Formats: sequence, C-alpha cells, structure tokens
Amino acid sequence: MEQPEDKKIRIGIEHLEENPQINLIELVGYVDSYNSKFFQETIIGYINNGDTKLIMDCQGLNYLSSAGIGSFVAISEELKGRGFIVLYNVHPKVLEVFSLLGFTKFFNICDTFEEAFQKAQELITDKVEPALSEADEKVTFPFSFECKVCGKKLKASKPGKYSCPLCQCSISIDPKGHITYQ
Amino acid sequence: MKQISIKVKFGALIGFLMALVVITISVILLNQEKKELIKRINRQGIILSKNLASTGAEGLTTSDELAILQTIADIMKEEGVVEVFLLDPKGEVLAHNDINEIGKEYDPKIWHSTFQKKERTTKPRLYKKEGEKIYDFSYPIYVKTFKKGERKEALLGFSHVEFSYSVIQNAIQKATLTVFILAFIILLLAIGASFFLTRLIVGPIMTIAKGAEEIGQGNLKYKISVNTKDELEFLANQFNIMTDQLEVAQQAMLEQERLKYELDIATSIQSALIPKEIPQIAGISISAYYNSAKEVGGDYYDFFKLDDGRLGIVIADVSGKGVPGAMVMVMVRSVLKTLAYSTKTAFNALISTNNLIYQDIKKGMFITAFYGILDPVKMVLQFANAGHNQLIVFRKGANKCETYSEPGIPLGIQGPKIFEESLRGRFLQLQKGDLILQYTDGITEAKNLQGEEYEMNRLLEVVLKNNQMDTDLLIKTIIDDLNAFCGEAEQYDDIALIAIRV
Repeated sequence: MEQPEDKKIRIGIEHLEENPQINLIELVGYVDSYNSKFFQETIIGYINNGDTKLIMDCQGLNYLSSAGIGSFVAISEELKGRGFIVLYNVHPKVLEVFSLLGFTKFFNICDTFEEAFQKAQELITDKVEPALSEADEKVTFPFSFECKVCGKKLKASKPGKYSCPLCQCSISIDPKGHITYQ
Repeated sequence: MKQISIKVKFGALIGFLMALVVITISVILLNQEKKELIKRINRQGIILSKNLASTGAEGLTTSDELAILQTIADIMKEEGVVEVFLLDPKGEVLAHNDINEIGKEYDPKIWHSTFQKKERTTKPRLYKKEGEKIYDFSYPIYVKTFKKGERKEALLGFSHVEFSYSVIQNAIQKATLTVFILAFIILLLAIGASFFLTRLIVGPIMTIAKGAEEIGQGNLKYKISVNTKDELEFLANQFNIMTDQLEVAQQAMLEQERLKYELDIATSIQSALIPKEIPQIAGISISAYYNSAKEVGGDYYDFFKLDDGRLGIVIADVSGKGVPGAMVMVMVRSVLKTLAYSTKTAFNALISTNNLIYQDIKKGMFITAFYGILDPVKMVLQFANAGHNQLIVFRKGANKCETYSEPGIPLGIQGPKIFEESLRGRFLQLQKGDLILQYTDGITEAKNLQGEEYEMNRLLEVVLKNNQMDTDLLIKTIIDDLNAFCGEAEQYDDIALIAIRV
C-alpha cells in the first residue's frame, strides 16, 4: 500500500488469482491537482516494475479533477505498446468527466469486474492498443452523413469531390466511403 | 558600551576574593601570634623574675654579689630584656645590670604598686620609658629567719625583669611581612589560576560564539566543535542540531518562496493574456467576466476581429498549474489566434492548432478549448469544441435554452489523425435577440460548503430567468447567484464567462 503522509488516495495492487499476468489496482479516495503527481508516479512505478496489464477498480474513486484525468492520460501514454489499463465500477460523476473531455473512447471502461476481466483477457491475446486506432467505416452508397466541419446533414450518392453547401469546405469521398475534408 | 571580558571580570573577582581571604586569615593569625608572644613574654618574665628572686635571696643572705651579678648578666642575654635589678622594700637598688644605678632610690609606690602583701604576689606592669613600652615583671624575695626562736619569713626586696615591647613589635612585623609576601604570591597565583580557569570556560564559549557568527552569515553547514566533555560540549551539540533544523526550515521556506514567486509570475502572465478591451461590433452586445483562483489554474478567453468582419471567440482551460500552465496558455493563444486569420473554419483552426502544439506539450497536460466564429451579418455562429464545456444558446423566439456539446478531445494530447477523427464542427443559425454563453468549469464545478456543485441546471435557470437583461447585467446576475450558492466556500478554480447577444 503506497500511502506516504496521507496523500488522500490509497492505491492497492495485487496479482489476480484467475490470471497472475493481470494486476488488480484498487483506488480509494480522490485524485485532484494536489495528489495527481503522486498518483501518476505510483502507477507508472508499477508499470516500470513490470506490471503492465492493469485492471483498475474505481469503486472507491469518488472524485477526479481535470488534473487527475491528466494522470490517466499520462498513464495510458506510458502503457502504449507495453500493456493496457481497464477501468470498472467508475462513478457516474467521474465518468462524466471522462466523457466531457471526449476520453471515453480512449479508455477501456467497463461496468463490472467480470466485463473488465474479460476485456483484459481479450487485450492480452489481441495485443491491440485500445481504441487508439481509426475506425473503419464500411459504407454503401448512397449514404447519409454529417459534415464534420459544420454539422450539416448531407447525402452522397456516389464517390467524388463535393463542396459543403453550408460551410463551403471541400469533401472527398472515396469508393470505400472514406471521407476527407479540406 | 565598553565590554569587559569575562576573563578580566573573573580574574579580578577571584583575585580580590583570594586577597580578602588571605588578608583576613593573616590578620587573625597575626593577632593570635601577638597574643602568643605576649603570653610567652609573660611566662618568661615571671619565670625569670622568680629565678632572679631565688638567686637574689641566696645571694643577699650570703652576700654573694657575684652570683647575683652573674644571674643578672645571664638574664640580660634573653631576647627582649632591657633591664634587670633588685630593689629593697624601700626602693633602693640592691643590684642592677648597670652598675651606676646601684644605690639609687626608685619610687616604691610605683615599682611595688602591684604587690599584695597577704598573697605575696605581684602582677606584671606596663609602663612607658622614653617612648617605649616596657613590661615590668617583679617577684618578692623572701628569706627564712630565726628570730627570738621563731621561724619567720622576711621580705628582703623584689626582683625586676624589664621586657621591651619592641620584641613583640619586631616579631609581629617580621610575621606581617612574611604574610604579606605570601598573600601577594597567592594573589598572583589566584589571578593566574582564574585566568586559566575562565579560559577553559570562555574558550569553548568563544568557539560557540564564533560558530554562531559563521552560521549567522548563512553558512548553515558549519559545525561547531567543542570536546570538553561537559555542559559546553552539550551546548555546542545542541547548537549544531539547531543549525541542521534551521537548514531544513530554510530549504522549506525557500521552496515555498520559489513556488509563490512562480505563481506570481504565472498570474501576471495570465492576466496579460485576458483582453483589455471587448471589441465593438454594431448590433452585437458582448460581455465577459474573469476571476482567477488562488492557485493559477489557467483559464483564458479571447476575442479578435477577423479580416472579414467576423468575430473570433475563444475560451480555454489549461490543465496544468503554475508557470508551466501559463506558458502553455500563451502558446495556445498565440498559435490559435494566428491560425484563425488563415483558416476559414473553427474546425480547421483547432485542428491546425493541435498539429502545431501537440508535440510540445508535456505528457498528461492538455487544453480544452472552445473556438467560435460569429458572422454578425449572416447571424451564423460556427464553432468547434476541443473537450470544452457545452455551449449555451438562448433562443429568443422559442424562449428556451439549448445546449450544444459537439465531440472533440482536448488539444495537446493526440496527434493530428486522432484529433481530427474525434472533432466535429457545427454551424448554427441565430436570430436577432438570441444569446450565446460560454464558460469554464470554474462555474459549473464550483462547490458550496456542503460539497454540492453549482452544476449546469442552475446556470441554465439563471440565464432563462434573466434572458432579457443587458449582457453585462446578465453576467453580473449569474456571478452573484454563483457567489450566493458558494457562500463561504473557497474558490479553487478560475472562472471565465462570456455572454453575447446578437
């Protein structure tokens, strides 16, 4: 248990019986701008120690500030190519912070331990970096989409170059349905 | 004030005390000696006069003048004896150490004044002769006679032995001299010893004092070394411990000062970024409010007129604190503002901004930003939102508040591809009288003493209720409501709020 001088966040780590490769981290407390450095350094310490496959129980995490999010971002950067982190039992309030900042897609967030464990197993076998790759859109023409620049609803009947009527940006659609904006 | 060293004070004090002691003792001793001398002379006088008396008794009866003279001569040899003689009861000198005195008449009233006939005793007598003090010791001379068949004792006369007081005086003087010499020597020794003793004490004290001076100059690593194995060594050690603690405290204080200084710099950097003036555009009313928290958090807002009469509106929140956060803010503001002039859409401006800065931003730091471009002629607001708060739009026509949260991750975290992937822009058509509001989460996340957050709903309520107000007044009303909600609770985050009526 890392807890020098009451940093207001308790971090516990143990190997999972079900799969010793995976480590379960339990968080109790909150992460704000005062202890985010401590939190970040502690977890990265574990990662550098070799514990790179992490499941995090956030039941006890009752508050996360934007600096705290920053620590999670730094942690996931550190794990790139080396491992992963899956969060579960995340408080709605904390989840809100993740989604407000647009991060829900970039962190593996599950509801229960079972889901998280399953996800972790998948990630070990897949060795896929979580959600940091582009989505592949397979579309059939004609298809509807929203202009990314101005949000105008548009319809494309075939591939080609178009100009958005609202924002005048040029849109290229390739035969696969890939859209690039100019 | 002139300082007298402890050595001198001590030396003088001890010297004085020793001298006092020696003198007191010597005075007492001298007194004793004097008494002893007088006693001795007393005894001697009595013995000698007795001796002379018995010799005199024999000599006078046998007319052995020689024996008497011999005895007188012997007694004269004794130290202090100045006169020896025999007197008859009437005072006639029967024998004398000075032949010329024989036959003279001495006054018996004086000479035999102390004679007690019954007890047959005399007492020593002190008198002055030519300025000198003389002790007279006398003894009656009795002989046994037969008269008319009866045994009788007849008084033939008195023996006298005269002692000069000068004997005593000389002896006392000699003793006094000896004592004074001794006292002087002891005085010198005492002063010397006290000097040495005080040096034993003052030496280490001076070491400590010099150490304190050295430490006082700022050399906190200096260690005072005293090895006298006594209280002074203890004092020196305590001093060293104190210095160590001082050093630690000093480091802590310096660190705090440095932090405070850094915060001050950051605050001044930050306040320089906030626009001093709000641009004036015909038909548009714009108001803004900004308040920084104690810990520089890094919010800013910006307005700038683009070439074609459109208005650029930025509001952003940096995640890092202190000077690093402030520096990042400066960078974002400059880059975004510059790019705004060369990109047509808010969407592209944010993407280009992220491209330029994402590599330079520390891991874990990020900037949420809302960038909107208002076309006052066409009444169109286009915007893109990089992880920032929802946009609030009050529609005058419908008399309702709407919120828009377009997706987008904050600036500075991901590379161009992912950033662009996540971002969506929006074009909004506005009607005359509509209100636009943007803010930072210092408002929605402001807590009261119970720990509740102000939250979006309260903000929307206030806007809806006061939507007719002039933008300046509307902002003031919102802030007043926020302060009323928070009460005594401290504000930990910057607050920025923009209101625009088209």
